[in-house]
Amino acid sequence: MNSQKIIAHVDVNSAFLSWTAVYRLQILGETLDLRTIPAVIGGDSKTRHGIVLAKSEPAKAMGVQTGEPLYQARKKCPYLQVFPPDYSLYVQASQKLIVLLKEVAPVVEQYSIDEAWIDLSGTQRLYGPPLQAAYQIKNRIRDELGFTVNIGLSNNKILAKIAGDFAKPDLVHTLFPPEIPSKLWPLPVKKMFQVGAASEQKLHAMGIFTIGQLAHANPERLRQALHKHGEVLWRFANGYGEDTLTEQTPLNKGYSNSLTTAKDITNRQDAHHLLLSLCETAAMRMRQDEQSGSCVGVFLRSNDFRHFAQQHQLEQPSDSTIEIYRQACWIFDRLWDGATPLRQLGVSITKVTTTPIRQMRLFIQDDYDRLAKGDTAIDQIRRKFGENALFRACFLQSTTPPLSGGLSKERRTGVTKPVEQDPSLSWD
Amino acid sequence: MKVNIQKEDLLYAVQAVERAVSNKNTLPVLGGILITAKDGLLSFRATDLEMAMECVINGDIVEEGEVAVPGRKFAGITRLLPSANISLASMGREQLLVEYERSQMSVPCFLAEEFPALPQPEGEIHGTIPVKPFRRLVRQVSIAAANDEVRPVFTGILLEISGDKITMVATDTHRLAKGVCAWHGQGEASLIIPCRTLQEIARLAVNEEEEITLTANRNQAYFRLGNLTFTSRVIVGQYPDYKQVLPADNLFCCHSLIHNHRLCNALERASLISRDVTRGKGNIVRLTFEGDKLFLAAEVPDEGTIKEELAAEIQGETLVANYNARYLLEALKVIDDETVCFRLTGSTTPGIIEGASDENKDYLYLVLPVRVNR
Repeated sequence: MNSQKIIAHVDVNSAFLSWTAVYRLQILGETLDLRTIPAVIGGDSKTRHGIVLAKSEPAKAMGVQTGEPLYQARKKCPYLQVFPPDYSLYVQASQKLIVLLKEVAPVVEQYSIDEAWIDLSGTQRLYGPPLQAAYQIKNRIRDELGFTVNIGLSNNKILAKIAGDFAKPDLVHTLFPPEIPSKLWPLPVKKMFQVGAASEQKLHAMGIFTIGQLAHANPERLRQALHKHGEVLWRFANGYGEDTLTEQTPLNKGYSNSLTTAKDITNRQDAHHLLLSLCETAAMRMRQDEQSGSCVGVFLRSNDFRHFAQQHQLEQPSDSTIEIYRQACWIFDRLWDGATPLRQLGVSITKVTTTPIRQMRLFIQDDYDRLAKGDTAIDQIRRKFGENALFRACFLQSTTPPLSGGLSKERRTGVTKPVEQDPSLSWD
Repeated sequence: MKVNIQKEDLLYAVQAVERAVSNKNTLPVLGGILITAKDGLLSFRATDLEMAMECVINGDIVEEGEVAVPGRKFAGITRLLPSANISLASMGREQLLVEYERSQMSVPCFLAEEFPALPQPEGEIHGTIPVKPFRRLVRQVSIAAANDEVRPVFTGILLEISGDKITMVATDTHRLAKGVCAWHGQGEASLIIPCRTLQEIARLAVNEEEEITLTANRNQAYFRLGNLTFTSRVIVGQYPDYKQVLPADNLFCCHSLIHNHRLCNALERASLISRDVTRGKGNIVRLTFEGDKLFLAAEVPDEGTIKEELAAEIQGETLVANYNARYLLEALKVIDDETVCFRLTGSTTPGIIEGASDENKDYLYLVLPVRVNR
């Protein structure tokens, strides 16, 4: 590992809320800055997407948390202002950020819609010492784009990301290896990147409460308790991490899609329709990336929030909507008792490969070539005339949208206008 | 119930039926082995409702009765018992006392009356199959059966009983294996028997001079082999017409005779390179049949490349076809002749592998290639 590398992690503060605030100030000409009042971006409670997606600092000060139901947030903060998300706006804002970062840094790796790493190695002569450079970038984003970011500086990606998380907003932090014992190790383990509630509980059971204890734990013991993830966490806690950025978006490890419905699903046909609509979008994305997957998974959430999931291997990798859909239905029928009302359905395709191979088969009637030609034609029509230009006839009388999917729809198409939504359903 | 039995006899009986003990806990009693002492005979029985196995042996019966012991645990205990006389005695309805030398163990049991009764063997199909060809055939055909439950008929082996022959066929739609063995009996039928049942029978049929008695109706098949009885569900469903996919003789455009073990070794080496190309599903090798050579190649970025050249007797046109190496290897290993014949109909259409020896004259293995770059 080259210890001379300087990696900065750029993270937009309360991204969705900031972007909405900037839009309202700069484009709509409003005078009230949402960032200065208790406000959140939240889904529509009526369609059961009523959770906090992003919060302002004043809302945070009153205890509002990202991910909690809106009614709970309103209890903590009765005057809470709720604004709907606008994903196309966020994609635009995100693209602006990346364009700016590419102006200042030679290598930019986007991690998510509101986060990116930039490699500042060797830019001292341009911008001065790294800390100074980071401040310049942070301020430039604030002044030119109107929203604030946190920047974390270190020698590798993980440390930079952890540093960016220290205190917010509009700040620059460093976490170079010599600073690890004083800045990182005293923190509780849940502050560690990739430690969720489940890992935290397991670590606590092992007597590990701080990141320092994690760093000094026996990696073999961690592996026993948390499998491979344990070793990964140990490496992170000791400050080891990747320091090479890739401009190219890494190939997806899998494709997944889920939707929370406005009304509980209680019959098999509706469920199958929704699965088809989820598979349609996921398979389109796979074909666009020229990938095939060989493991199909289905997950369900019941109306009392129980979670069910199962996956099954296809005999060979596929990118065919119908093949994936058939497998998903087969799994769904084994997974669902036919009675429990369902509020959320999801489909995933993993074990993806780019190698376009096809094991020839006997007896199976559906001709893969025919399916593939159909998929290609459908994709072409949708690309040319829009995604709603063509849909399967079974959706004619159905309340399920012909294509269901998440944020990736906007990313995929680069749509910059607000997306038309079926009033009964919204993006999950 | 109270019986005395030698450890070796007990172990034989328990190990015979242990594989039919259910792994699922939908019905707890199916995790048990039912031991019945009656009329001077000791019967051990287990079932997972798909397959039931029974083993009957002699024992010194002090008091008749029955007990349903927890299968896996009791099998474990039996394996570790000293080589001595063992006494098994039920204490009440839910406890078994195992006494050996000067020691004893007690094990909680299931209620014996909850154990499902075995259906009586009956059916219009009745006859015998010699053990030796049966074992060979099951080994050779079962490789092509599917593990995947998506299409249940393919997890079974098709038994076509007609005249003095049983034809066995298995396919997972990527390959198909077919063989024939002798049948002495009555009735004509096509039965799809779970592959696992036939493999269990083959495993326990150690005496090659014996015969297996088969009695079957549309729902159940009963196999008897000496003191062992197997009851199996017949898989419901329509088996596809396999004869339709067997290519007519005039369709073959390339015939080759290849040294089996050399091809096996080359495929195994190639598998080291090509394995996991599509995460466990790949293992693709390219075979080129040309002149008097068979070229074998695999290349996977980051894993390496391999090119091999094997001597072969080839007639017909030059052909290049990609295969899943595992499908070829499994066939070559069960054919175990020195020379195998590989006939092809094209680079994306079926090929057939056969042994050259007389013993394999009724066996064929059809394999479909893999198309690379669609």
